[in-house]
Amino acid sequence: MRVFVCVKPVPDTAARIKVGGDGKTIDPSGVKFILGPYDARTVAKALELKGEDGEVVVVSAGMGGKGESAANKRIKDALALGADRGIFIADEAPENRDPLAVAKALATAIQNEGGHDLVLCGRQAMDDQALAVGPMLATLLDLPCVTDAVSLEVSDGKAVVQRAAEGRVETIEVTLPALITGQRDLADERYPKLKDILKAKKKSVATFDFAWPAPAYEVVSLAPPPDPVAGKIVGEGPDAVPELLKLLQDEAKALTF
Amino acid sequence: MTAVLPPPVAPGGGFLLTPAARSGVFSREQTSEDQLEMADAARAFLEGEILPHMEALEAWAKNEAGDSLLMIEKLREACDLGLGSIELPEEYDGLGLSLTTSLLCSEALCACASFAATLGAHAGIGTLPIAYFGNDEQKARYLPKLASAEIISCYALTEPGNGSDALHGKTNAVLSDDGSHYVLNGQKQFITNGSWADISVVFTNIEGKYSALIVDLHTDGVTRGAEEKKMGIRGSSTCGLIFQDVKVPAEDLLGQLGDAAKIALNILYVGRLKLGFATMGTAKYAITKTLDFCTSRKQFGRPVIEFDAQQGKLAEMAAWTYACDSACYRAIGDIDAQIALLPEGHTTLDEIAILRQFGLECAIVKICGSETLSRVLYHALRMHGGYGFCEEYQIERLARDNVVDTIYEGTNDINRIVLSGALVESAYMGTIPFRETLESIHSDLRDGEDTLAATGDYLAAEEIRVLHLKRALTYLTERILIGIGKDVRTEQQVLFMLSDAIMALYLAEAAFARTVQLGADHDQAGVRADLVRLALHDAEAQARSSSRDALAHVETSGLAEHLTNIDRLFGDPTMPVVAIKRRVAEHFIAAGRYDI
Ligand SMILES: Cc1cc2nc3c(=O)[nH]c(=O)nc-3n(C[C@H](O)[C@H](O)[C@H](O)COP(=O)(O)OP(=O)(O)OC[C@H]3O[C@@H](n4cnc5c(N)ncnc54)[C@H](O)[C@@H]3O)c2cc1C
Repeated sequence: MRVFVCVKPVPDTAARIKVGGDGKTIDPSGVKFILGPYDARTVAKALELKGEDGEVVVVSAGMGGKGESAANKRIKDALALGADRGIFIADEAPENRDPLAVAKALATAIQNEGGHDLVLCGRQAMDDQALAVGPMLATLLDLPCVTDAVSLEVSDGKAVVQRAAEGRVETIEVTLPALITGQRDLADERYPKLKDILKAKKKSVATFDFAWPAPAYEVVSLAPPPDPVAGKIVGEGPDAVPELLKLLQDEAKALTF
Repeated sequence: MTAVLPPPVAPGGGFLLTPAARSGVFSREQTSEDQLEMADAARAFLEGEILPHMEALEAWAKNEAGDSLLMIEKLREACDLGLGSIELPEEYDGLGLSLTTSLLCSEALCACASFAATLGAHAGIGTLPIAYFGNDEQKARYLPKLASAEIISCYALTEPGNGSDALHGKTNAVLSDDGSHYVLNGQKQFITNGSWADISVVFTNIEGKYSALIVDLHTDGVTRGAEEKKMGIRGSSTCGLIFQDVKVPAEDLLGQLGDAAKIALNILYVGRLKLGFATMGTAKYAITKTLDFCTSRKQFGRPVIEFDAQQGKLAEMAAWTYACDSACYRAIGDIDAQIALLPEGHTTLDEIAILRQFGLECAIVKICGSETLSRVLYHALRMHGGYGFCEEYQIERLARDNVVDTIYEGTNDINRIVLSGALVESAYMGTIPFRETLESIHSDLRDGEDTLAATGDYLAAEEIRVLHLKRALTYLTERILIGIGKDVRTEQQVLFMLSDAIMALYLAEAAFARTVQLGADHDQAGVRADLVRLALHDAEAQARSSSRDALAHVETSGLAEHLTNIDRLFGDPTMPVVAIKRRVAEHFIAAGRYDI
């Protein structure tokens, strides 16, 4: 099976994000970029599924704080986990790239390869959390799309996917080729073998030239989230429950009946 | 960036006599991208697979399938990734990578000493003797299975009656009449992995010569002692091994008869480096944990970290750790530089011979790693208040685990003996230019001149301070050598003072050189320069106090003159440390972790 996995470099989840001097991008100094946790699991799943003669191809566009190098390195991370080769789509101006432009770039690069059984994306990128590229890419490639997969099995040209929906787990059968976006539970975490880190350096990473359209949208400003509001103690013991319920419903809007 | 190998510095204390290093000192910033990626992989494994299971590992829990101890499963997982065979030759399923790469991974696999001890006893002291001293047949038979941890190894040197005095054990093996096997009798003590190891490197007398055997622990006559109930590294196994008429095939003799000293000491050098790097890594982890805690913990309406006293402690922890980190990489860089000079086609044993020459530096790495961690944890515990005393916050475990770091791989006392002994030897044998340097110091003292001059603009004042330290300690070394004369083995208190002072210099100079090399344009130049200042201040305080005490003991007459001289050589100690510490604290509070 030929599996394409789309990955994006994102800041380490432990990194302290600071807004850069321009007020529009994050300050990359001291921030480490990693293969996002969702992407790492889709890579792991692809490796489980590819089979004897299969191939796992990792695709990344030059998004992320350090542009080309960050994206290229994340491809290398995936290769170190065992993926076979990479495709890097250089982007000179990644700051103002909307999800559709990225999806088009990925679609063009994948179509250029002339055939795919399965395309995997993380459910979201940990940083901008747009949750958009996967479904858009499916549309552009004219593939059926299943999002938020927590399990995925493939046989006889079909995939059986379990997806985590609100309050239930749906099991869906979909004909391949298909595009599936993965949750963290999609596969066990994999760690690169030291040997494979060295081998990854020798694997091929092709550069794909994509004619990026002029940016259609612009990040106007970037600000840290507001400080969390301080907690409130409404009372003690069972007597406090009605008031608590009322506040959770009306004020915090955390409960709906 | 590819590794820039520095020009060789004479081993055995040559650093005492060189000008303050502005170049040629290796630091973590010079490690290659490959090496950093491997360390990242080790760290990811630690964070994903070890730290979340700390409690279960300490409780000797089973794995999920219930068919093995979790610790053994984790050991095998680590070895499957290659973390147990970094420096093993490729022909025996190792990675064939450098000691530096292995040490970076030791540093990354920190903060869980139970796991590090288990892995280290198996892949380090349990495997490397076979890799370094085994014959081809032994290597082929054992190394691939050790690399994958299909079989688990341990290292049995210590005996109930012989700990520090390790090479005079009572264990004895006699060759059978037909020459086919040895019959082994004796008892070993405190053996890491003792409960679950499959084989052991066992040190024993054979025909009156202290030697080493590879022993299959599943052979008749091997008994494992009760598991020790320990203060720390509770997830690891430590027990005795008892050998009663154990038959060991003659082909399992490791090296030659009488090779025990060669094997044991050489393995110790590697072990000391690994322990130094692991403890240094743990110090960074403890700083980050403490920062986390003190940032969220509020008293009197403010995060605890905003209090001046806590900022002072934070800065001290960071400065000690920066200096220790710099010293660790400096040592391995100097060792690698000498190895690079070996002719092509050299053997592992040639490399080991280099390590032996750097016995002093290996001792420094071991002592400074373990004791920097102790100092850092002393602050960390107290900065956590009552929470530091409770298991949930990890610091309690780190503090318990740290104690054994000062005991094994040679107690820190034994390492101080090694350190001062090596320095005395280098000075006497003239392998370091001790006489020449002394002459210049004496002539300056006579002329009342101070010829110290910085050789660069950046951190010039700090360079002068390094030079002061070097000259004062060279002077001190001479006074001690003259003063104690042939009592050099018995005057341990004075020699320990010398060891501590020399070590303090090594650390401070390493921090200085590393920072100078990164330059004034480095984006952390400001805080790094401050860390150098604090490291220098710490070293000066240490060295001054040791020097005065030592001189007061060794000078039978003319003490006042020597004190005056050494004070002059040390130079002016004043430094605005309070302000410096506040700046340093500010950096780390903003970063939220030890980010250097
Ligand atoms: C948890 C744990 C795991 C261990 N794992 C292993 C292992 O895997 N394999 C192995 O072989 N050993 C192992 N050891 C043993 C360890 O190496 C010894 O404990 C150590 O070498 C010290 O020996 P000792 O305990 O007999 O102390 P002793 O040697 O009796 O020392 C007692 C005190 O005397 C001091 N002292 C001793 N000699 C001198 C001297 N000449 N001058 C000044 N002071 C001196 C020491 O510094 C110490 O303070 C382990 C120990 C522990 C606690």
